[in-house]
Amino acid sequence: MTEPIVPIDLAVVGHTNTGKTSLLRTLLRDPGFGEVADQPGTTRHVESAQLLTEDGQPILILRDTPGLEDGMAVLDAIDRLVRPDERPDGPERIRRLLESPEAVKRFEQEARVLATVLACDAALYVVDVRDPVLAKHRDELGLLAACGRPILPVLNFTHSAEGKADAWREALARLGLHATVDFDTVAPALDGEAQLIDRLALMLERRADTLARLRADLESQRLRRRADAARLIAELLMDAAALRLLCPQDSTDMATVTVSLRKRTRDREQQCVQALLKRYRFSRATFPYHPLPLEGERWGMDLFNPQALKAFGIQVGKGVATGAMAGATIDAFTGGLSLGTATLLGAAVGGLWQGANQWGKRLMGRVAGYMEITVDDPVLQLLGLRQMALARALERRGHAALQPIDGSTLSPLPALATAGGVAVSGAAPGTALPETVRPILREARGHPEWSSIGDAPATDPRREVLVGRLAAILDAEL
Amino acid sequence: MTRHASSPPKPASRFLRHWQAEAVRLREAHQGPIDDTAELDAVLRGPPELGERILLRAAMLGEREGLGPRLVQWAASARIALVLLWGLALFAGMGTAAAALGTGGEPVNLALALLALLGLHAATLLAWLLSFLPGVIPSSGLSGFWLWLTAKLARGPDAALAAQALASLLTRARAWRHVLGGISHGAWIAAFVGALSTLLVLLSTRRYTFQWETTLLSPEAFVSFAHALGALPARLGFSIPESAVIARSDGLHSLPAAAQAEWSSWLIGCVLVWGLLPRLAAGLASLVAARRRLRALAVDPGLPGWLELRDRLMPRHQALGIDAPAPGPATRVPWTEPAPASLAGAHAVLGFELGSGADWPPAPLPAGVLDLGLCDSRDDRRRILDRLRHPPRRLLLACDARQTPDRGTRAWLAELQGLCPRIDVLLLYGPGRAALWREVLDAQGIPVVPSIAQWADTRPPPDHD
Repeated sequence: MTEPIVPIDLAVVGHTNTGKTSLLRTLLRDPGFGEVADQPGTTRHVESAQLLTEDGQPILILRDTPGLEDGMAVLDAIDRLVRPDERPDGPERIRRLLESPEAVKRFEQEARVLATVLACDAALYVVDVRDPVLAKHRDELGLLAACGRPILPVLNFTHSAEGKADAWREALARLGLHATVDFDTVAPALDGEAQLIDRLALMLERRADTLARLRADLESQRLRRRADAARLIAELLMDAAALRLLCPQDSTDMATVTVSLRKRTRDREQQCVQALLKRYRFSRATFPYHPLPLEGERWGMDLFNPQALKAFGIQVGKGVATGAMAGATIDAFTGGLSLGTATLLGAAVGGLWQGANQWGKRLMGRVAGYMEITVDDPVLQLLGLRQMALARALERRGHAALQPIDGSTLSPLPALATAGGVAVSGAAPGTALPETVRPILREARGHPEWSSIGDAPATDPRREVLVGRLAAILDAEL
Repeated sequence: MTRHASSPPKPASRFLRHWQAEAVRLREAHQGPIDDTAELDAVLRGPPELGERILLRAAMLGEREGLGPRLVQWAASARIALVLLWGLALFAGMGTAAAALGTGGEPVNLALALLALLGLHAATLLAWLLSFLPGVIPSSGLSGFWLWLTAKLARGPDAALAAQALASLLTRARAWRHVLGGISHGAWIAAFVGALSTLLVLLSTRRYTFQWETTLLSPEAFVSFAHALGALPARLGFSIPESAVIARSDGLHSLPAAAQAEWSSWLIGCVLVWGLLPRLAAGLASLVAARRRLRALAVDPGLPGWLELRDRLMPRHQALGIDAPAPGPATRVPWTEPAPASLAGAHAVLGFELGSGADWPPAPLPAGVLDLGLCDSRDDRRRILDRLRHPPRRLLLACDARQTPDRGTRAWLAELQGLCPRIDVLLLYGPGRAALWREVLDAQGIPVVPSIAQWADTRPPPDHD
């Protein structure tokens, strides 16, 4: 199981300013790797990093190289180094260049790139498809091909409107590079990495085993990330659903308690957002000017603003509270005693401390004229949908992306629409959490001690079971 | 399994490590993450599994924060509380037995004595059994008292955290109820030991008479009651009085001393078999269950607080650094003093790297301006250089502003600067990266013109001849 792996060594090459470092950031899921700017020559040395497997073994080495900027002059220089009566092969020509004095002077950067490619298993040639195909690009590719290593062109920025992906594919085919892979570093396809690895496996047949393992490893990482996101959201929903604040039946006190309820829920949501960002390895540092990478209507709006519900298409009944009490539900005496019969039995039988104590306190509270305030059902829906949308957006976001996540990225619809056949409640898809979530949240409402933001949180294995179940449901929806 | 010999000292027991990890987790959940940069390195050099790394990190943080000793201290307090509880139970058992028998002056009412000795025990044992039904909250009478007592004994920082972490850890491991059950069963065992020894001592040293009383029930009911309760103790050698003796023990007949001895044996048997033995069995079962659950104690990396640690503790990539420092920042490319213009026409236009499919020329050229065509490939460059052996007075380069002006471009511009007395650049398809172009062109000393027409109008250029 833990036989040592010989890592695959890849050089990431390309013309200057095509997003080589961005590709590394996205592949490594590290927005802090290297330096990125819309300028030529941002990366001026070869910076490497390696991907580790689950058990910490290096499996893939990625080498970020400086951009090739002067391929034509390099070719001219090589021509000068070769006597007319000689016919040296590609690697030999490159070797001569690297040994020439110009390799440490004018062509210092090109020489670094070529030396790196010579030492690697294969090269990823990053193309900005917004650029036209020019003769200098062909010359660069010729230079790289002379290194005698497989080259896989990676088409970057394929999502941009002015992309010329087809022209590039055709031009690459004319140079004998028939396998290409689309990989938008800002918004990579979900299976982008897998595609990249598959293409590599075709080129590096002898390393197919390692690549298969890498692929499986990445996939399991992706699934784990998703499961973790679902768990984080499930915890949030559980905390919000179980939150139950006692308040006297006085309208001013009631408003104060409602404010507290809202604040706790809001803070808890923020906490979940931070945890999701962290899990998907998007640091605050990526967004220096935004306290949260969340913009646009959907995010600007407060959780307890009725408009926010509408923005997410959540149906709101007529009887919903507005104004000071918006988003909160007051339990009436009759319906409020939501402890199950089994719990009642347990409290009656056990009769001594915990159960009766808690139950008795609540009963006494009612008799003394207290009410209980909980988070409204539609707000719970909004909470869940918003976090699901965020998780989806993060999953589809490259670590090269510098723009904050805005409302349009956070459309709650697409993934649910493609999930197909998932039980979604009566309304349009994506406007509600799955029906199966309801009984879980309903049960949680009866256990104020389950809420970590409540007044007296306590551990309960039943809560863990329900969180697990809830997370599984949400995971299937993500 | 540890790879390195230099791993930090480990806390004594596995259980303590888990307890400490839970305490650290709860504290981080309440007070925000603890800074672990110093410890992270050692953790990453430590065991390869995530669970072990979480435990190691918690152990190191706990040691730094002094949490470990406080947990140990709390455990000591809990042990003292347990001894106190069990001691109290022992005395309570002795007291109950003494009270049930009385001083010997009055005859002992068998039914009431048995009720006093076994009644509460039977009720709580039944409640404990019922608590295994789904959805029933386990009662925690005696163990609740133990926790309260521990809290009173273990004052000081983090005492509440220790208790909370213990409860949380054991609850999640599904061992909490067994631990609490074991504690209350232990108290009952102590109580019965006390009660039985008191019974033995009192019954050995005092003269008691036993009787039953009833108003409502028939004597037969009491006979069958005594037989039912006595059947099992009888198998262990305790005696049951004869049915006739039972019937005559109504306090109205005088009985031989042997009958009183039989009754006392029956009473002791009942307390032993229906009191001590079930509690021993339940206590043993709780102990076994708790131990088994505790042995299966594992870190759930999905828990809030630990879930966020995965990326830190199990990094999926590692920086390998750079090959060599970069040379100094890019500077302008030097060019040589150009030769005087000699090309007829004096003005020329060249499209630089616009792509082979570009619209050329971008606008109708004014009269007298020479069109040098497009320059993309090395062949084009050679052709242009050839033409520029007789350079024009002024050369206009049309460039694509959307592209990045790279070193190759700068070198080419410098090469042209060495050939032509004056070069201007027209940026097409702007704005694109026009700002970047202006920066590069400024450094090379090449002006940017807004259009071909304007460039052509600016005449005559400052002549040198």
